[in-house]
Amino acid sequence: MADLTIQVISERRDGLLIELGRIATAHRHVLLRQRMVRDTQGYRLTLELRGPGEEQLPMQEAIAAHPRVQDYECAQGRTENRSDAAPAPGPSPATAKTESGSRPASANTAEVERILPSIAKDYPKVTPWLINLGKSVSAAQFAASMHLAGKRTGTWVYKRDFARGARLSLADAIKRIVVPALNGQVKVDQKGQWIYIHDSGICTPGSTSGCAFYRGFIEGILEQALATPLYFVRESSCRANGTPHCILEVSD
Amino acid sequence: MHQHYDVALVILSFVVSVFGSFTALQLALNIPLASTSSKRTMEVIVSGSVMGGAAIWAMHFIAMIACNMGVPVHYDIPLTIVSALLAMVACSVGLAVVAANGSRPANLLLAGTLMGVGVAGMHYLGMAAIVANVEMSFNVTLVVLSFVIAIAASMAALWLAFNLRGTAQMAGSAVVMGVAVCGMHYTGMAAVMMTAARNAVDMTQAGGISGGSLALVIFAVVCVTLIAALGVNLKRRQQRAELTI
Repeated sequence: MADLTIQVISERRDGLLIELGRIATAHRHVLLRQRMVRDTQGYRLTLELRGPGEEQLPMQEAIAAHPRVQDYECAQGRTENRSDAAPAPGPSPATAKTESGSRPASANTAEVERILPSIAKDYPKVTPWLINLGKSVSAAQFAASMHLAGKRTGTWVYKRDFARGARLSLADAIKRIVVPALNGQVKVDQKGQWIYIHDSGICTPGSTSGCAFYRGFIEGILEQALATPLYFVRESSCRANGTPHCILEVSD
Repeated sequence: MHQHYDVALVILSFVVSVFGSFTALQLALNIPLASTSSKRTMEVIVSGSVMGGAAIWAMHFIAMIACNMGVPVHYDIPLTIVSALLAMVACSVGLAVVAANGSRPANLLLAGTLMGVGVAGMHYLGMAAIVANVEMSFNVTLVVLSFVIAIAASMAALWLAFNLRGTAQMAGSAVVMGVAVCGMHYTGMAAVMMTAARNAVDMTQAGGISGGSLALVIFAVVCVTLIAALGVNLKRRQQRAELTI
């Protein structure tokens, strides 16, 4: 277990703590302390979190990518107590050292937009285009770009093939839409809330994990398919890291 | 009096029922996607009319033509028209309930009951439209069973249509609904006991529409359904092609 301090700046404060708290909970982090103060750009929310080390990076990525987060900074460890009446001039955890490059980069939207028509044309044979996308973006932008490509593809596949019918519960949407949709691209099994992806062409042993694409794909589908949008999708393990399959968890 | 069935026409009645159900359920899937209430109402009426008119009404009268009662049969025109309207209205209301409120058990029960009663009601109204030198009595147990079959299978077909996705949904829901309609009809026919009328009437003066003329009307209904199915298919292909990623 490791402690982490995250500071974000947002234009509005209402609901911000709840939304970011859900992300932290989804990544098995516990909120130890939170502090919100006015800032010149809006509101500064400081979260002190504790959770498993392997969840830190996905959680940071999810928080940094949240639409309400305008600025983001992260540091290992916890801040020392400070008065709420004195807004901090800048993110400065006293006993922590700042991780260099701790802010996950955003997606290379231009490259994703360039690749998407080819994905649509050749769907479901998308692996070569995703490998192409991976090579055309920087390492820092890789995960976010894959995620964006996955989300757009998932939304498109849903509207094309699965839109007709009632809105479903999460369990039914996974079983009747997500798994059949993924099975069009790769071999997939479902065991409860876990989705096992076998032999993914974009997650080969020793390579960079491409599971962000599948996470985005599933999110793109569930956003459209669910009656109530309360869910999270988490990359649990990846073939690129030596495990036999890629495993994603989908839960509410 | 024994009823003898032309097997080819019996099979045709099932095929028409499945085909009509398929088209109607595909049209019904558009109901939740309608952007305005007037479009939604139109989709409800169109899908309910195809279900009631093609899947149920056309199937019933093909099956009646398939049934040789040993006497000439005509059909009372007003009652025949009312039977079609009953089926269309009941199906429209049932489809509207599920499309608007989802397929929770309570909604399925209400919608399935409405559709099932519509299916069965149309059948017995169609039987009442028979103009022939026969007297009919009914086995109450089998009549009740026919209603139960219609309601249960309607619920199943609605659930399949709105919850499944893809090929399974299209094929399975249509077959289930076809089985519902045919199962109900032939159970209802099994419930009927026909005896020669005590006071025979001259059928040349009896009025109504003959089986042969009715067949032409049924043919027209099936053609309209086929056109609707083709239209749905073309529209879906066009929408698919226009959808951008």
